[in-house]
Amino acid sequence: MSWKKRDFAEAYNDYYPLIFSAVFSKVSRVEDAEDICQEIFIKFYEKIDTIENHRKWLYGAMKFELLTYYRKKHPDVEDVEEMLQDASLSYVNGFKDIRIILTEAIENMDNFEDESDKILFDLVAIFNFTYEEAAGQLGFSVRQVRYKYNKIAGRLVSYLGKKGIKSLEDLL
Amino acid sequence: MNNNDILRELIKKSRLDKPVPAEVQAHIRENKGRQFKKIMKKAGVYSVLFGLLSNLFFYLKRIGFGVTIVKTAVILTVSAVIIISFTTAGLYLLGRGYFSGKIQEKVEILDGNKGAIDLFPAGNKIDKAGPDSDAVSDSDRVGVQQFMGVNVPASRAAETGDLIYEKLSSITGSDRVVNFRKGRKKAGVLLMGSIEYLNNGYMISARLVNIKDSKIIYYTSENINTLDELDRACQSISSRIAEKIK
Repeated sequence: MSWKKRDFAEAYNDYYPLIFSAVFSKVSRVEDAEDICQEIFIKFYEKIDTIENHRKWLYGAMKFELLTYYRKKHPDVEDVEEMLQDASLSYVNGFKDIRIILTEAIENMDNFEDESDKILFDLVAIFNFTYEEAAGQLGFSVRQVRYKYNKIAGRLVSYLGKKGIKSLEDLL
Repeated sequence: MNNNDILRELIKKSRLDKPVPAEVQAHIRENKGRQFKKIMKKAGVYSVLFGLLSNLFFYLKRIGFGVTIVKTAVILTVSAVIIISFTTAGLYLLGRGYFSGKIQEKVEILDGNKGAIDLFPAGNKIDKAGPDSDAVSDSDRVGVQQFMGVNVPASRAAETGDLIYEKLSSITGSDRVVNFRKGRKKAGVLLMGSIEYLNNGYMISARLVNIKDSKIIYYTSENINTLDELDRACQSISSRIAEKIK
């Protein structure tokens, strides 16, 4: 077994649920999401030796594949990229600032022990995976997932505290 | 609400969440391996062995084992070696007719200090070739199996078996007896035995077993105090056996 295959299998196991969920949230069709993921991961396999940050690369490739998908589906639309924009970005109310702070906290890798922590958090908090599902995807026990998630949440709360947010409940 | 719930609620209210329905989550989990196979095939690097390995890897992950693919490969290799070893051993034993020759001793033998028991005195005599035939038929031949040693070295037990074989073949003729430890020939009767060291001496026992039905035809034993008497004991055991198979 080559190192390339080994690295790919392990990265695939960790990132596939994440990328699939992200793609699905854009296309809303399981079959389309599968096709797009196939394209992303074939390219990922071919280049895995040269990729430094797997998550970053995969999200970049995902954006590219989604653009291709939308262009095929909606040849009449000129600005496909605009279509791809997260609709919630235009959401204006009191949560806009909180959104910025939260995004910063979630994107800051110092709040996570390692990459698997970040994947776990995204699955549970962003894509709403149950602890059981997240455990089954990542090869953890449910107890481990619960423990890890609690630790991550604790770190994020402490990060937000440093930013001046003393009580999370006040933000709700 | 604890921090976890508040954080989740905040993410939700900030529209940062992108909830994936439960059935889609289950679909991802169930189809992960299949999709992986498709990707590997499309990339042109799929092989059956790697397919097996990845299936096991994803399965172990799914049931909560955080193994790496290298550990999975080790598990797969060890399992394969165990399965192959057992299969080979099973086939080998079957090939040797081990199971057909296996003895089920149903008779409780009570013996004295020195004795011989004829378990089938009337009926179950060994088949003999016709009176006009000089050649020894396979069913008449006695195969001497390696003797077992209890509290004595295996080499001593083997030596005892060999000694009985030599003495028996000198009485009955070498064509009538075959030493399975040194060569293979068809035989109808097995001569099995053991040498056992007891408190203050040795007990040498031998039994004739009909290969066809695994029944014990004859049993004899000798007790000796020292190994100097081994030759004499083997001689008398051989004589009794020779008498029985005459």
